[in-house]
Amino acid sequence: MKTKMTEGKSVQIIINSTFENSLVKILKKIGVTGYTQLNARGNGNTGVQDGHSDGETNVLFVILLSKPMADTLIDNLQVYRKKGHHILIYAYDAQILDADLIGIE
Amino acid sequence: MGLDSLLIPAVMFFALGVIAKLIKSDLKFPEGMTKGIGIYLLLAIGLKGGEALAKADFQLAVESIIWAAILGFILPIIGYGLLRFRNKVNTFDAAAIAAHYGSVSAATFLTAVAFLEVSGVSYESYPIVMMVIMESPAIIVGLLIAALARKRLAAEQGGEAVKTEWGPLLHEAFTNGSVVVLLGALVIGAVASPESMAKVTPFTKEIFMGVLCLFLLDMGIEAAKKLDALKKAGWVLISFGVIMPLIGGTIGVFVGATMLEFSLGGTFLLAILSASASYIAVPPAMRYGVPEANPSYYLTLSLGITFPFNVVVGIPLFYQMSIWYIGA
Repeated sequence: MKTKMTEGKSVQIIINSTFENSLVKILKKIGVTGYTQLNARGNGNTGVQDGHSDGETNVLFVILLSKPMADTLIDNLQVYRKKGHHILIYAYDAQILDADLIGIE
Repeated sequence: MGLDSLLIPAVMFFALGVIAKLIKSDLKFPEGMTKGIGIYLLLAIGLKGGEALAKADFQLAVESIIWAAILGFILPIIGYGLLRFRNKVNTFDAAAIAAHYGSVSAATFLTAVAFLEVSGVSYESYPIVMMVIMESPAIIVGLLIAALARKRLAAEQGGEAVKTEWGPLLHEAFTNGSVVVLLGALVIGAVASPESMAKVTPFTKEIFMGVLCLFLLDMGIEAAKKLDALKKAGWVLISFGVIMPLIGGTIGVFVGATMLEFSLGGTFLLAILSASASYIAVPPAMRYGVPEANPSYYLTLSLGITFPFNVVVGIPLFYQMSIWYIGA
């Protein structure tokens, strides 16, 4: 029996931790039921992000969602990017097992 | 005085941290440890301040709070004016940097307290209350300047101004961890019975200086990390990181000695508060509230320039200035 996989998107977002609450609110608003969050260290045009203080702590969000929801999420985040927030977004096509468990039909 | 102010363990540990980073030592603190130590230091100084405040003059305490708020609003405006002189720094960077210099650095303040204690100079508890009050007004000034700049830009470009989300920003300004711990410890220190306070003395007083050494060791490592970013900051911002504490400290000496009639120790501590730049409470507020500004500028300036400047030059300088001004 072949395992059924559903097509979706894996959207990965790197933000400063000060934006975390806003991102979670957006995810709830568009109906995302879960996400994975990791502390992220690195360097870039906002300087070294090493977690020393709240202004220097980056967070990586990994979110699996349907393609239309991924588009909605990216549109929502674009509003903040235009305001000047440093938000790095990239996405992959994903094959998701038991996608209905995370709200993807 | 001279080199004496540099020969206290806390300051020498700061230098050790800088050296460790410069020689590429693998010395580093476990993640989260500095935040924990920071909370301890604020708690300890808050309890000590609260205990003294319970016996203090109520009218002078109120006057100190009013002056702290005035300084918190005036210092960032002066800083912004300096940064915008001849349009050398863009409005958003200037607003965010100015907010840092209107607020305060608890680490600089605690190093100054260590200096007074080693020197055997007494001080009033009012500057500790002033430190709490001075954390937040500058954040509001920075956000207001940025909001006005957005409106002006939108008017010039014919677009719609980006709205400032005041709710979460004001919440952050008045409820950030430092304010809550410090204010809470002040109240607890003021209302707790002397007998119960005596029980926590080993925790809040006797190990305080040793823990401060650990904290400053880490601050040294972090300050040295910012040295690379100085090249990007440029001479205008670097000069500001030195000039602004001199202006703030001088204003602090005047307010402490003339307006509030503090003793030498109190005047010196207020000078240090006015000269210092925040690097804990303000960066996250500016990061969210003024996203147009470059965070590497304000963090480099406050931690890489002004903090070391105040520890090495500011402390002996403002101490001597206070002696000279008061005529002690």
